Formats: sequence, C-alpha cells, structure tokens
Amino acid sequence: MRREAASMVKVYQIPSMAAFFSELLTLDETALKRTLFAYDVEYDGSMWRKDDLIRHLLDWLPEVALPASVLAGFNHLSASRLPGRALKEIDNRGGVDMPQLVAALMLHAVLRVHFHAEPIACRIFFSVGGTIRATSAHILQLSGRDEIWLGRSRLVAAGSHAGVIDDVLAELRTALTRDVLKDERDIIIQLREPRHMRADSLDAILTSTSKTSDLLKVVRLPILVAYDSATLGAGFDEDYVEGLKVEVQDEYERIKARMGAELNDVEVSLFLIPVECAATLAGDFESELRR
Amino acid sequence: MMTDLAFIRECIADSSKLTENRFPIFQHVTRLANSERTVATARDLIIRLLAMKSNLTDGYDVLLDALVREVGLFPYADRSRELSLEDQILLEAHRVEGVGADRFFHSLQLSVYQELVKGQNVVLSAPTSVGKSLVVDAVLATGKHKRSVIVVPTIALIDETRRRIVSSLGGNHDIITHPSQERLDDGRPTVYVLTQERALARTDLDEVDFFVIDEFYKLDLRGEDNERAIDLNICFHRLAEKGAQFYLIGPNIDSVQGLASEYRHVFIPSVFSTVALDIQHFNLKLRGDEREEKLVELCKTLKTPTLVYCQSPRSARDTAKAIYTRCELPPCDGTKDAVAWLEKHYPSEWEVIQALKRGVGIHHGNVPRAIQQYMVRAFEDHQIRFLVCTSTIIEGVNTVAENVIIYDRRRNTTTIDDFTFRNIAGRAGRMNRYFIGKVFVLEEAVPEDEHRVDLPVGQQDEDTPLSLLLDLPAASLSPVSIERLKTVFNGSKLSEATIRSNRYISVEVQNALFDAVEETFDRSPDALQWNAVPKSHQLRAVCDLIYDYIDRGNSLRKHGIFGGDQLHAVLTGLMMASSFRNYIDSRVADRFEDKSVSDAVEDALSFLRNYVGYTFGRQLMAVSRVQADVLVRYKRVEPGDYSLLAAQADSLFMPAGLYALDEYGVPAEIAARLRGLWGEIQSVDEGLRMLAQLDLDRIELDPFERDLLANVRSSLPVRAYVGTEN
Repeated sequence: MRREAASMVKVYQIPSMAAFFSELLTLDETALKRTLFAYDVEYDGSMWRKDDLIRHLLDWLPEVALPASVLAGFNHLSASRLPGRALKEIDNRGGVDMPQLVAALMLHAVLRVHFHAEPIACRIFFSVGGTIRATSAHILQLSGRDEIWLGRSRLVAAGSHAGVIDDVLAELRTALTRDVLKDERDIIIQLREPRHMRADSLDAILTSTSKTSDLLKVVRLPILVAYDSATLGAGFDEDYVEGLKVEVQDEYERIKARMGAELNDVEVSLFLIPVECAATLAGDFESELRR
Repeated sequence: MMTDLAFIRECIADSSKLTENRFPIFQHVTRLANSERTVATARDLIIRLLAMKSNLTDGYDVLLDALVREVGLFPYADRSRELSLEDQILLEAHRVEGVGADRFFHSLQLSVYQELVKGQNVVLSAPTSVGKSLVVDAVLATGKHKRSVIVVPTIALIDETRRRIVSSLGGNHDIITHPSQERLDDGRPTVYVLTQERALARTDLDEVDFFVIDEFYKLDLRGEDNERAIDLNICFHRLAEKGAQFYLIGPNIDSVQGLASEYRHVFIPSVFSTVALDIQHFNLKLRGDEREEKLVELCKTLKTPTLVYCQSPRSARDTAKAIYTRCELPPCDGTKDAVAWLEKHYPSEWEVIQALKRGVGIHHGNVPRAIQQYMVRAFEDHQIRFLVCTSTIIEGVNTVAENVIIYDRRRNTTTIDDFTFRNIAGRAGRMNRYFIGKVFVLEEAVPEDEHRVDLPVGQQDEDTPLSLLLDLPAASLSPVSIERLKTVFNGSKLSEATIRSNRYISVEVQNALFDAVEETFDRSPDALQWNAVPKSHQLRAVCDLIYDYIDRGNSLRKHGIFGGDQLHAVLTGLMMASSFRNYIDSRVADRFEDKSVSDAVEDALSFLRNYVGYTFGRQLMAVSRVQADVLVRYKRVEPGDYSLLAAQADSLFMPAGLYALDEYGVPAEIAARLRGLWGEIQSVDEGLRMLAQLDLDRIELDPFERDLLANVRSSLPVRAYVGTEN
C-alpha cells in the first residue's frame, strides 16, 4: 500500500516533512482484510518526546486545515497564527475535542510521511430515505484505484481505553450498516476544495458505488488509536521497544477481536501509537495551540 | 444523473421542482464543484441555491454550506453552524483584518490580497461587483504603505471611494482628495484618492509606494476619450517607474499588452462571481413602440430596485417619463423634500424633478454631482424603485440593483460593445442581497467579443500620440519617439517647455496660436498683458483666441456658442449672475424654439460643468503659456498670467473651498447659503472644518438640506476635525 501511494499524483504540492515517528511493527493479514501499522514516538535521552511530537503535529495543522492554494499564500508565521484565532472563535460555541484532533493529526502525519500519500479531505453525503447525512472522509489516490478512507482517530487514556475503542467500533458498524451497506442509498462525494483530480477517477468511484459490493471494494476503514501505554508509563527503559512491540501486537489482537461480523468484508487498517500519557499530551497540545 | 444546466436552473428557481429533484441537482452541482474546470458553473448554481436556502432541509442545508465553502464563497458561509477546528481555520484564513466589521474574503479576493501583501504587482480582471475594492481596503489596513494613490475615473467615484475608506478604516489614514489639500504628515499613512488629472497636477507623489488604478481598461487609447486615457497612461507611468507597487483593477479583460516586463506583474483574469445573472433578450426594434411597451410591461411587474440604462440624457428623460406616466406611479412620499428643494433651485418643468416626484430617479452627467449622489442614496435606501441612468451607471456610480433593463444598445450614438454590455449587465445582483441579478435586454444582443487592453507606453510607434510622448521622461522614449519629438521642437518657435505644458493641444494649433498671439499683441498690447481679473476687452481677446484657434467650436458649438464674442458674453453673464438659478433661468428664457425646458436646463448645467468647470481653464492656460512665451522671449515685455481666472472658472466663479464641497455631497446652492454664514472659504479643508462644526439645529434649513448635510457630516474625513475643538 505504501509503495502504491508514493507513485501517485501529489495534490498538496508541499514537500513532506522529515519522518518523526519510527516504524515499530507492521502486520499484513490480507486474507482477513486487516493490517496493523504501529509507530514509536521515541525518547530523547530518557525523555519521551512529547514536546517534539506536539510541535510536529502543530506543523501539520495548517496543511490539514488549508487547501494547498490558500496555504501557499501564507508565510509560516501568519499560518501558525490561524489555529489560535480559530480556537478563540470556536470557544464561543463549545470548543474543540483536543484528543481527537491530536489523533487525527497523527494519522495525517503518518500518511504523509510514511505512506507519502496526500489525503484529499472530503465529505460523503449518504442519502437514505430522503434525508442526507454527512461523514468526513479522505480520498487516497492509489495506483490501481482510488480509495475512500472513512477514518476514525482517537487518543485514549488508560481508564477509558476499552470503552472508547468499543465506541469507535460501534460507530463504524452503525455508519456502515446505516449508510454504506444500505442498498437504497445514494452518495454524493464532496471535496473540501476543487482539486486537480483526474475527473475519471472520481467518476469511477461514484459510478461504481451503485452496488454495495462495489462500494466496499473502494472503502477502507483506517482506525488510529493513540493510547496510554503501560510500557511507556513505567518510565524509560533501554529495552522499551521490545516491550512496545509486544504491547501493540496484543492491542491489535484485542481490537481485531472486538470488530464484529459487520466489518468482516471491509478493509481495516489499524494504526497504533503508544503514548506516555494521553491526558498530558492533549493538555499540553492545547496549551501550545493557544499560545 | 441530471446534467442539463438549463433544466437545473429551472428547477432551482421553482421551489417545488427543487424539492422534488434536490438529490440529483445536488449530486450534479457537487460533481461540477469538485473539478477546477467546472467550478465556475458550480458557483453559479450554488449562488442560485443560496437564493432558495429556506427551502432546503433534511441535511441539504449542510451540504449547501459545505459547497459554499468548497467554491470559495466564504462571505456566504453560514456562521451559525458548528465547525471543526480545521474548517474554522480555513474560515479564519479568509477573515479580512483591519476593516472594522466582521468580514471575510472569498477565495479570489484572498489570493489577490496575498499577492499584494507579498509585494507583487497585480492586474486583476474580474466581473463587476466581485469586491475588488475590499482588497484595496485590506491592503491599506496593513499599514505597510505610507503613501498610496487610488486613481478613479470620475470625481463622483473619488467621493464614493473616500466614503468607503472612511467607513472601512476609520481615522487610521489621512485621505486626500482635492488639489488644495496637503498631507497632514501626522504619522498616519496617506491615501490620495484622485482622478488622473488631479494626480498629474500634484507635486507630492514622489514617494508613493502603492497605487491602484480603478477601471484600468481606460489606459487603452481606443476608447472614446483619448485625452483622459493619455493622462491616465502618464499617471501610471510616473508612479510605476518610481517603483511603486501597483494594483490595476477592471472588469472582463481578456489580455493586457504593453506592460513592461520589469514590472513582473501577475495578470489574474477571473470569472469568479458572487452573484448569478439571468439575461433575457427581447430583440425589439430600435424604432416603433415595441421597446416602450416592453419597458412599461417590465416596470409594472418588477417590484424590486431596477436600473434602466439609456444611451443619452435625452433618452433617459423620455424613458423616465414613460415609466412614471404609463405605469401610473403615484406621487412619491420619500422624495417630496428633495423635490421641494429642487423646485426652488431649478425650473419645475425639468424632467428630473417631475420624475423624482413620482419616484423615478434620473442619473446622468448633466445632473449636478450632489444631486446624483442623492439619487443613488434614495435608490439604495429604497425610497425610489427605478433609477434611469446613462453610462454614468458604469463609470460615475457604483450602485447595483436586482434588475437592470438595457433600454438602448448604444452609448450616445455608438453601438455598445460586448465589454460595455457586460459592464452594464454586471450591475444586476448584489452580494448578500440579490443572489440572482436579472438583466432585460430590449434590443438585439451585442455580439460576444474578446477585450484586450493595450498600454501605449510599452508599444511606441509612429502612431503613438505626441501628447503622450511629450510628458514621458527621456529614458522611457523609443528611438522613433525621440526623433518625432526632435522634429516637433525644431519646427516650432515656441519653447520646448511651453509645448510640453500645452500637450493637450496639438503642436500645429500651438504654432498657429503663436502667430495669432503675436498679431494680437502687435495690434493691441494690453489685450494680453493682464493678471488676475481681466477687463472686458481683455477677456474678449482671449475668448477670440480660444474659439478661433483652440476650441474651433469642437466643444463650444454643442453649447450653442459659435464665436469668441458669444463665449465672452456667456462668461460675463455667468460671472455677473447672482445665483446659478438666475443663470439657468436666463438660458431657459433664451432657448431655441425646438428646445424644451429640460433641454435648456441640462444644456446650461452641462456648459457649467463640462466647459466652464473643466475645459475653459485648460484652454485659458494654454493661451496664457503661449502669450508668456511670445511676450517674454520675442517681445521682451512683461507677460500676462491667467491662472487666477482659470482657477476661478474651475470653481464656477465661487470661492474654491465652498465649491469643492460639492464633491463631498453639498450642492453649490447649499454651499452658497453657507457662504452667508461662513464668509469666503478659500480651501476645501476650511470648508470641511466648518461643516464639522456646523450646528444644524441653529440654522434655518430645508428638510432636504438638513438631511443632505447630516449625510455629508456622517462621513467626513479626519482632517475635518484637525484643529477644531471636537
């Protein structure tokens, strides 16, 4: 999958940043339609690189929020001021789910750096019974076809871990059975901005989605879970990488087991990123964002 | 999938068809929006859907808002909707800073703004009403430029631009609009808002770092007014060659030629539109009653603000009359104060008054400027529903309406081209108010065409006007032009400086004037040797020279003047008149039999404004310079100096400071009343300060005068308050 993405047309026209995460473990279970990609934030000396991670994620934020054409007109300084201003506006209307934003940025960073992919943000509007409902997604251009990634990303603390994973999976199951797997539904894919996409590639997705089985061929569910790691929580250890590998594999198996039969026919890519303390990470990220 | 655009537009316009077909419509619109190639079509449909927003429920409102953002129409984005941080960041990227209100750029405005703040020279061609001026205000708001110049085609637009800047930027900038005003240099950046003639007359524009030319297509010499186009070219060249950054804006231009490559400008031709247009052609004949019948039929049905374009003031009068009589419009309550005031100062039979009485405004170049401003304000405030205009609709005023009726397909006697047509049609529709503009073209359609702008400075040849070359620095002249100028200077007895200063007048005419001045002096030396106020025979002598050599009836004949003696008599009458009303009444009384009262009133106003207030001063100064050259260099005597009389004529022989208030919206008749309170006001700033201090409750004013003055005072520039207690 990585090789395929790297060969495709770039829409952001922005060079990738240097890799921040190191690859921890990859498992490809093609027959089961399940894949695991796990990443390590690493230590700087004996300090887990939380602050570097926050800066890295914030560097991606303008690209995630702004189309390439708009971003090109901003210098780094003025672009970096925008999130703070936006946050102030949103504060008046309820605020932002910081843990979810941190996790979404992690997924974006991984896709951009490790997959050399340039996800095209879009919304998919499912029309069922006269009402239309939107879900956020990304289109990834791969050499053989285009994939619609209906992603879910969560940053979870140890205490809420199992519950959050169950919620995510339930949400995905509902979305699939209510919208995607419904025979009596129509689809509108709306990009966040007009792009120089090959018209035929998008058309191909739209026309091929008339049947549920065709749609399932282009839909992938990426689930990124950044979670409170027991290994990292115990403090720095020279051999922590080995401990993490075991931990992410266990986590992968656990999540896989909870997925349920409804997701059997769907490609699921699980992205796992162990963190030292999810609550501190989200809190410090927000403070940095507000600076 | 629904792909027939005409059918989609039809469905969108009909709420039940829209509800029935909403999914396929949205599916197709989204598909169009998702591709750069078709996004303009999508934007048009999205704007039409916005007009039907209240009919969209069940999640379609959410999709519409997403599409609005996708196609860059951020000013239309639903701000009440909860947004993700990413979406809010995108919206924040479009926020316009420093212009007061909560405003957002659309995507074209943002990209132009970004180019400009990077220091890039930009030439933007985009449809009317796209909001090109908001970008100017936003650039000024950055405070990056210490001295900026905005060049606009008319004095009416000077005031409109000034008011806009005052409203957007408050007192952050010192705004200069009049020749008599000087920079305050109080630490605030200076913005000059000038016509090209005023810009050229200034000597303090050396350190300009940013300039804007509004309606830059007027740089092209193929237009109707070459003299003004040449001035605009010289103005552009003077400012640009000193390194000032430029932003040239105009509508519907396909290409620009002759801009030197060293300017490294970006040309942005865009079809981005913030309103949709429905254009209906009726293909009616020029002659006969068909057009009037259709006009009346349309005006009876149109219930929202409607502009009517006519080819000339006379056509505007006839059209206005047809509207109010045949649509049986009742007397209009909202205009009765204005009508009462106008009847005091102009003959009641004047069609402008009669039409206004019934709620139809007339707007053309012969209507006094402050009254034109009132007409636009009354139209925008919905006091009048119809505004009948001539080409002032495209260059003298920036108002728009839901409907535009193009009654004539000519401008004066020339058929309008596609460019002018699009410019007029572009006045239909207005952002946030009328999503869909409706254009009704009564005659046959104007063929589509491409419009190119050629800048002559960069493409000099044998045909380049000498009047342009005479004011260019040597370094900007091509070898051919240098040779042409050398021949001109060698072939004239006049000095190079005189020929250059009189560049408005052909060199042949200047040479002939040289001989005539010499002959006049030899015959009657004191006829030319005068300063300040001339005696009667001295004025007569210059009137003869002006008529016989410079004007030769070109501009005077249409005002009924056929010789120097008549010019002398009319000017003397004007200088002696106790009021404009007296002068106008005398013109009405003396009119030819075939002329109506309205003809006579408008001829008089046109003569005052176009000839006395503009052309006469130029012609007089040309004579002044030639006689100075002859008398000093060849006769070795003290020359005359006619500059004071020229300046007085520019102000129609009123104190300059008072007359200039006309530009700010105070009619000369009210200014004349204020003269009784204030005495002689010589500078416009003094007049503005007096206006700022005026206690409206303590002077006796007509309701219309009170309303007009209150409006003027609401947008006075900061300099009106400098040095006053308030």
